[in-house]
Amino acid sequence: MDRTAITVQPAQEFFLALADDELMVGHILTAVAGWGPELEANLALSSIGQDELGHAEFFYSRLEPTEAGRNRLVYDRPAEAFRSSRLAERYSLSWDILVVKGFLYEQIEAGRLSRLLAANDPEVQAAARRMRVEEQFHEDFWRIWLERTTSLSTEGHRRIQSALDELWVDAFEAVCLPFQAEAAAALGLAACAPDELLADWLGKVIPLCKQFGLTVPAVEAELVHQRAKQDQPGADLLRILGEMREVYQLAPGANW
Amino acid sequence: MPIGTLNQETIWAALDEVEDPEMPVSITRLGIVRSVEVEDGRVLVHASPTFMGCPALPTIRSRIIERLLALDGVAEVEVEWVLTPGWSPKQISASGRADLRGLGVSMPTPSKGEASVCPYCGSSNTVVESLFGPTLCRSISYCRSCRSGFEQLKDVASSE
Repeated sequence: MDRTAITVQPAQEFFLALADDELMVGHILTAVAGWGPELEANLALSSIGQDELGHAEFFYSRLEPTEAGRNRLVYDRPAEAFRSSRLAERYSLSWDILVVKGFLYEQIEAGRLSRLLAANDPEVQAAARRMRVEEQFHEDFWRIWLERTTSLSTEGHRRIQSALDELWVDAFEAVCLPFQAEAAAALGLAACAPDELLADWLGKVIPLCKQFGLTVPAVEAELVHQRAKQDQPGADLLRILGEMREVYQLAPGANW
Repeated sequence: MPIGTLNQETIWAALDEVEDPEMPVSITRLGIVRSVEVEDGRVLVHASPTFMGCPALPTIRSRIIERLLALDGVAEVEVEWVLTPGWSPKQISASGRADLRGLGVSMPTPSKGEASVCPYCGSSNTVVESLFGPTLCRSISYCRSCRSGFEQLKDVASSE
């Protein structure tokens, strides 16, 4: 089945995209806790992952008010109906990829939450305010690791640069995807053109990259547009869903 | 307790006996319980999560329900998580702060960059070791004076 064949209302599409991204990021971080270079880093992976899963639950609650309904979204939805971005789905045990992904994703999330502060739903506004405070800890963690890894050795710097080159275009997709014009209108938000979203995000990320001696990859606009949507569920998404649903599928609907 | 004495005071006293599953301190002293509504045997508890992803929330909810249903006259209990106003360490009562200090957990510093106070010896000669501790709401610090590790609640209020 084509991944874009399953359609929902624009506002729901928006919350699904945000929730699915948080679910993917949260699952991966809790799954890789233990692969970090030191005990404290592993505590952080687990903590950040838990927090992202909590944020995912809030966004899912905008579509499904009951726990059973939210469980169906997570455990019973076809892979084709997931709206997560490639960046969020990126599943790697390499520390350099994890650090750069965390850094790029948190900057994207900060932009999303800033925009949600103007949503026409007071509950969404309150949650966005709260999440911004919590996300600051995540953002600081990844930025500190980016700084440590790039400054301590040339090999560390080389690996981070390589990871940045690899993830850069996927980050572009994640910046633009959720804020489709119809979704923004349904939430009472000003229309956010992809170029404007990208400009805001680049305005924050490029100075930080330069500060750490990283070169931002040049990207052809055409390439970004070509990769705007995934046609089929990617291997990482299928792997994540497989892990997440392994126990559930032993006895769907059971109370453990 | 006979039916008819069910009121705010009774409910708050019962909630004071409910401990946070991640540290043995009352949820009312931690400032998690924000308000209570009582009407015809139905109790609605408004509570604020310390962090939205706190894995203890379902346990806190079930502990509240279990404790309040044990009161005579309570037929139904609902727990609603509220984000406005958001929880912050400022909501912790004086007795809650004393309980935390006894467990080796210090409060956030009044301003960013200021050293936290060691809950064991009171020294400010301390350093943050990790922003992330054993739970979402705590970080890990080290006291250079008494050479003890300790935990500190994260400051989640200042920028909200």
